[in-house]
Amino acid sequence: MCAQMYYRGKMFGFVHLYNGQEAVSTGFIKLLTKSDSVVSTYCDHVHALSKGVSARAVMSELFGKVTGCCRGQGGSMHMFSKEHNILGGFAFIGEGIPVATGAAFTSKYKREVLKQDCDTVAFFGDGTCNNGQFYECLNMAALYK
Amino acid sequence: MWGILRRSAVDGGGGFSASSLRRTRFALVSARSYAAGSKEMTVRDALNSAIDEEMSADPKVFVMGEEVGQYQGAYKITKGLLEKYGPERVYDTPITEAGFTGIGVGAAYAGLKPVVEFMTFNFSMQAIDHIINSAAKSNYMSAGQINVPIVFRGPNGAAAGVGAQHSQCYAAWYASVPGLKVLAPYSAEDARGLLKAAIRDPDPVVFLENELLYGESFPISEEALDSSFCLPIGKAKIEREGKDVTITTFSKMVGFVLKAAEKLAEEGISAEVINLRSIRPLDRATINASVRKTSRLVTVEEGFPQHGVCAEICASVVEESFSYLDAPVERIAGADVPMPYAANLERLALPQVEDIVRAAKRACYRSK
Repeated sequence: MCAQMYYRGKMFGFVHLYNGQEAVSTGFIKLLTKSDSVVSTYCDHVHALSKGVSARAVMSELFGKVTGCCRGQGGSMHMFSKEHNILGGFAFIGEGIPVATGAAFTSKYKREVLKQDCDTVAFFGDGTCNNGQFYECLNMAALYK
Repeated sequence: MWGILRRSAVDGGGGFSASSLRRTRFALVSARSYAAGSKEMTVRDALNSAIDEEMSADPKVFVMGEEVGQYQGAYKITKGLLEKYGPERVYDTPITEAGFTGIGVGAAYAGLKPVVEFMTFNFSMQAIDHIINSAAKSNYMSAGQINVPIVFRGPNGAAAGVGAQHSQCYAAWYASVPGLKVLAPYSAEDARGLLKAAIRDPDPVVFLENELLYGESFPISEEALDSSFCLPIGKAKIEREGKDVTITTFSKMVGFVLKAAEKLAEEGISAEVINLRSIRPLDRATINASVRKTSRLVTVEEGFPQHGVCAEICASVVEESFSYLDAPVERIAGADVPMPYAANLERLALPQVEDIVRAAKRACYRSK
């Protein structure tokens, strides 16, 4: 449906579809609680839906409407929801990985320093494994665990 | 009688009888400006005490960067913090700017208040995607749902003989981005007040220090030493009042401009010196009010001239105060070349006191 709307010019800019890959992320996200965080890439529509953002809010965001989850200011690639702990929607390959590592770091910090509890999941594709930031974060995740 | 003597000095370029009176009067003025605050503090200690106090007040504040912990800080700004707060709050990172900056931003998304140190802002170019795309733009992209209370701090601009890749000033680049706040302290009081304000701020702040100022001592008031002391973001400071020409600048150049103002005063030109303190948001109101009083503007910065901070100030003044200007606006910036290594070339590539004096005299139609 998004593809059809895009080809008809009703959606504009960039729209990246996640068709056929939904199972993996849906499985993971169903195991998370509301306070756990998800960081995604530009293929973030399904992640937002799985985490609990309403379909209406996601669709409205794709059409750039003020009723969208980011009032039309984010768009297809930048879905955020503070209520459902979706920490974006990032356009650049690998950009979300350090942000997710930071959110996971916060879980550890909150546990050790502030005495609170939560988890984070980052989603990315196989092409991202070429990216330097990915390895930087693997190194630091092991260093600070 | 004093007034008549002063007027003739300004018109005629200084008579003999007037000059000694002017120097005496000037000496009284400078004694007055140092009278407040008998304590002195280096910029280094000011920054250290600011971070220490904010970490003590809020357990969500933590420090992250290369050499900030065990080495006590590459420039000793974070000295003693690891011993005081422990490795859970002071993190030494590997040499991975993109990675640790992104981690800092992610931590800020999730509710912490990171203070990320770049060994110099030249290294921030490795992480600039996270500063701009992950930090600066998120509040807007999320329609206000996500805020990023992070501070990126470190030395900016030229040091001494560190060459082209370690000497760039990033004020103009970061100040052009909506969503960022950009601060540039000069004195110890600026350093303390602005860093505390930056750490408390709910938005991403780029805090541009200067390596050559770290060791400089400045008088500091009792008020500034209090742990609740904070300076407002977006407000410039008039370091020296004047009536003939407005000279704006920030960071290390404030010292140079103050020296230039003293030289100008000897020649009968009274310069008003504005220390910007905040590059974004820029205090356009103070700058324009000053230009409307003096009718002349000289802007000074260390960075590259094209698309610089000076260019923005000139545009603001031309847009808002054009009919008050009595002379074309003057811009003094670093030379349009990568910073050379040789000491004599480096000196030529940066604004010096003589360049500022010459520009002010040009604005006052005293020289070509």
